[in-house]
Parts: sequence; structure tokens; C-alpha cells
Amino acid sequence: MKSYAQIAAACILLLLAISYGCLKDDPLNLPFKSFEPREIGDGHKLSDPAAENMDQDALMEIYRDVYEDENLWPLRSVLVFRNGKLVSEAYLKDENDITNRHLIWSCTKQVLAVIAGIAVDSGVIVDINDPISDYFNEELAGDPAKGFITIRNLVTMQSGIDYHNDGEDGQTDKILRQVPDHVAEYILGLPFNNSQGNAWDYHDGNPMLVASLLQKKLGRPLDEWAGEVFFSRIEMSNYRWMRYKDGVTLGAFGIETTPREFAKVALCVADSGRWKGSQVVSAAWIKDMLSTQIYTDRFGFTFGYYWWIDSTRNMRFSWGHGGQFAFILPDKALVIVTTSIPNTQGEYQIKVDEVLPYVDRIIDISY
Amino acid sequence: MKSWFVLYKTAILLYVALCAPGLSAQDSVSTNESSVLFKTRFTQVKDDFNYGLVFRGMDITLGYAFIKSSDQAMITYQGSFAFGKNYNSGVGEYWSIKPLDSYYGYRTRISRKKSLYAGPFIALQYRWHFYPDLQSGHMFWFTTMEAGPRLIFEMPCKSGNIRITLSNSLAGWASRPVPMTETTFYSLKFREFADNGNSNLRFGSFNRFNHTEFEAGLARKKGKRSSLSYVFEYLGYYCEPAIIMINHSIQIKWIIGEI
Repeated sequence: MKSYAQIAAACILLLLAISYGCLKDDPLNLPFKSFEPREIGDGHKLSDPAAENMDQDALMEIYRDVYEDENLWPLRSVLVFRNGKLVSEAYLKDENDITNRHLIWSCTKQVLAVIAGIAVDSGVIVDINDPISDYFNEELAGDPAKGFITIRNLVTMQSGIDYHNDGEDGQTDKILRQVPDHVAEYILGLPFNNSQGNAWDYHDGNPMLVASLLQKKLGRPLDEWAGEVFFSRIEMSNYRWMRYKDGVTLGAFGIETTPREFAKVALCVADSGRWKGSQVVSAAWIKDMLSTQIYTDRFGFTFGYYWWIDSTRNMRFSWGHGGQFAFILPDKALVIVTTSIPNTQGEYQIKVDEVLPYVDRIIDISY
Repeated sequence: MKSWFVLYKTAILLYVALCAPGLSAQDSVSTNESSVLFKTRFTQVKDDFNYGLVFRGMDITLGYAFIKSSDQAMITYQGSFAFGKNYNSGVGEYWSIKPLDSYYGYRTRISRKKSLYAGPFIALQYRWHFYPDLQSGHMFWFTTMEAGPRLIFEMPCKSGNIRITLSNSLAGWASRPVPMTETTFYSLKFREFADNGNSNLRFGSFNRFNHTEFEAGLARKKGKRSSLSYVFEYLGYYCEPAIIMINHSIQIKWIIGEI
């Protein structure tokens, strides 16, 4: 009997070892083959690095290093535009990501900022110094004092509302789990933790309110209106902008799109609000949107109207959870877009300081 | 009435019909045995949603088992729930409920002391996975409602009865999340667990999924309450989004009631 038990134990250990070896991690990235842009009829102008005065071999090396950088394993795509043209693109996880949509999370805020500019241009918003009481009525019943918050406070993250993005107790977690019935009333029902216009406090509540008041003023879903006045005008069609269960378009994080489509927003902003020569949003708004309105507590960046500003690089950028970025470097006529696995948390997210060294390298090879 | 409920009811009725001749037969002598079971598992999960990463960890299963055996046949029922954690890039959490695992085996005497039971089994199991570091609060699930053949071989030994069980799914329904689902909305309400677990059910055989289970152990010696066994489980779903699970368990059963 003892030998039977020994044989049985040996068989179990062998089976354990075999099955452990049967299931292995797949390589995190596809093999890097090429970054040559592909023509897919989406309106982008294509070029190559050499034609746009960039060191092609050095760019190839940068891409290889990105693929091998273990810190950047969640990366899905890296695209480089110079002089408004796509010079390189690579999709690290799935070649179908060239047309597959994924969440860009808080990059939605920067898109919303552009749409708010169109709203100002067209008179939907009369003045960004308007108090929100000009737009909300019953939503302010619980706390009329919130009516003094201005649209400017909202787009510069200075509303003073005590809203938290993170953690199970955070308000964004509640919204993602569809707990509140109405987003605007829920956010406006929160207490103040600061006076408006006083301190910068980045959270999802502010853009949610901007989207809500725009939608209320328009009398129709914001995503529909945005499709007509913005997305269609920059030839952006492969996207989805989600609404909350109360029908309000999610202003803080609801856009799903492709890296090339997202890049069109950045290219339009980089060209002072133009798309292929046509003025889509006023240059004056773009200028204000990309100017320092307030200082932040993150990496020395400043903040415009939802757009991040890195003064050391003269760079403006869009930043979404997990590692979604669109960097605009006007001095070099560069736009760099990266997208990542969108739902990572904590240390598994790609941080901006992990990507910036590669941005610097691309700057250095652009003459 | 929800379509999944109709499906399950139909499958169970078919199973009962298949076992009816045996259920209605008059047995000369039968023994009943109820036990609680405790199982600890080493789990390996490779889910397409997790970018090719294999999550490995441990889980614990608690359950109840009932065996009625006679000269002609063996009928078993088992229900259990499990929970555990696994790891790769971040942590994973696993919950499972198995409300039904029933078997009817016709007995064949191989020799005076050795018996082979052969017959169909039917099983329903819900599995939910969470990967908070990799997937935030998104829910992934894998539900199977399967039927197939099961063989149980028994022979006595000094310490009790050696029992070897082999089962394999033949066909059934399986449910997985829709590929490329990246919704921003996820809820931890019980109803969402139930609705998701029963959504998108697809019928198939080996083209869709396969579930193999092998158990070898020492069933209880007469007068003793405990039995010990090793269980190997392979579970694969081959359509998009694919998932493969390979598990190794040590299971203890403890008889409750009179022995």
C-alpha cells in the first residue's frame, strides 16, 4: 500500500509539472516588424520619417526599445505625426487595433474642452464666466450655493466640489456602477471642500457637469450634437461616446475610439482648431484652452481648459487613465499618440513619466 | 420566461428521462451517504481577455455530496461553491457556484470485489472572475451546463475503497462575455451576476468547449467518516473569447449523519 501511495504521489507531481508547463504566458507584444503607415481611407495624410525630416533609423530604434521596455507592456499603439502627416504607426497587441475601438478614458475631457469651445463659438454657451445657475434649475434645488460655480471653474477643475475619482468610496466608482439616478443632481448634491476658483482639484465631476449643462441647453444628447459640429468635420467616424442611464453623455470618460481617430482631435488642436484648412473651432478658444489657467500638483504641469501643459517641453497633452496620451509639440510640429490597455489600475498603468523619455527621443530626432 | 431557464429545465428533464429505467427499478439493497466536502485547488486560468497572461493561484471549495448506491446502480448529487485568488500581473479573484452535478451510473461487476459504474452526468456551474489590477471592476464569467459520460471504478483495499472517476463533457451550453466588451458600466449587484452568467448561452460540443475531470482517491473505510482524493480538471472554451482552466485539487469528504 505504501508503494501505491508513493506511485500515486509521483503521478500527481508529474501531472502538476506537465500541466504547469502546458499553460504559459503568451508574449506580451507582437513582434515588431514595421511602422510604415497604412492607407485605410480614414482621411489621414501619410508620409515617412525621412520625407518629414526625421531620422528614420533612430525612430526605428525608438520603436524597438518601446516594444522591449517591460514598463510599457500595457501599451497598445504608438503613432507619430509630423507636419500633420502620419509618419509611423505600430500596434503592439493586435494589428486590428488600427480600426478596433477602445476606451480613451479621461482623454474624453480634452475632447470635451474642444466641444465646449464650439459651444462658445456658436453661442450655446454665452460666456464661460457664466454661472451654472444660468443652465441648471432643479438640479441646484439641493444646494443653490453651487449655482455660483462658473463654467470656467468647471473647465479648470476649480469648482470646489468634494468629488473623488478613485477607490470604492469614490463618486466615479458609483457612477460606473450606475448607482445614482441622475449624474448632475448627484454631483451637485455633494458638499464643497473648497471655494470655487480657489484650488485645482482634478476629478470627473467637473466635466460631467459641463456635459450635462451643454446637453440641457441643447435640448438633445451632447454626443449627437458633437457628431455634427465636430467629429464629422474632422472626418472622425469610428467612435462611440457613451451616455449614462439618465441619457446624459458622459463628459469625463465615455469615448471609445481608435488611435488614428483620436489623433484627429490632437491634429485639429495642433493646427489652431483647423482641419485641412477649415476652421472647426476658433483659434482664440484653442489659444485660451492651451494656455496656463492654473498650476497643478502633478510633475510641475500646468492646466488649461482640461488640457495639460508641460512648459519645459512647450507641450500640450491629453491624458487618459491607463496610458492614453496625445502629445502636441508645436515647436517640432509633432503629434504623438499612444494608447494602452485601458483598465489597468495602480502600478499597472502606464505613467506619463514612463512615456516622456521616448517623447524626448522623438523630439531629438526631428530636425 | 427567461430562455436560459427553459434550456436548463429541458436538459434536466431529458436527463431524468434517460435515468428513469434505473430510477424506477426495485433495488434489493441500497446505501445512502451524505457528506460535506472541502477541496483546495491549485488553479491556472488563461483567458483571452487577459492578453495571454496565465493567472495561477489557489481556491477553496465547500460543498455537499450525496451518494445512493445499490447492486444495480449509483446515483450521486453534488453542489458546491468556491472562491479564491490568483496572480500574474496583479491579482485575480474567482467565485464559482455549482448548484447541480448529478450522475446516474449503471453497475457492472468486473469481479467479485471490483465494480464499474457507467452512465450520464449533468452539471451546471457558474464561474466569475475579476482582475481588479488589470481590468478594474469588469466582470468575466464562464458558465457551463453540460452532460456527458462518467465512469466510476471501485475496488476495495485494506484502507477502504479505491475509487477512480473519469468524466468528460459531450455537449451542452456555455456562456462567456461578448468579445471586445469594454463597457464603462459594471455592477456588483447579485442580479448582474445572475444575468451575465446566463447570458449569451451557446450550444456546442467539442467544437465549443471540453471539460475533463479525473478523480482518484480512497473512499472511506467502513466505520470511518473521511475520504481523500486527488482531482484533475481541464476546462477549455475554444470560441472567442477563449479560456482554458487547468486545476489540481485535494478533496476531503466527511460523512454526516449515521454511518
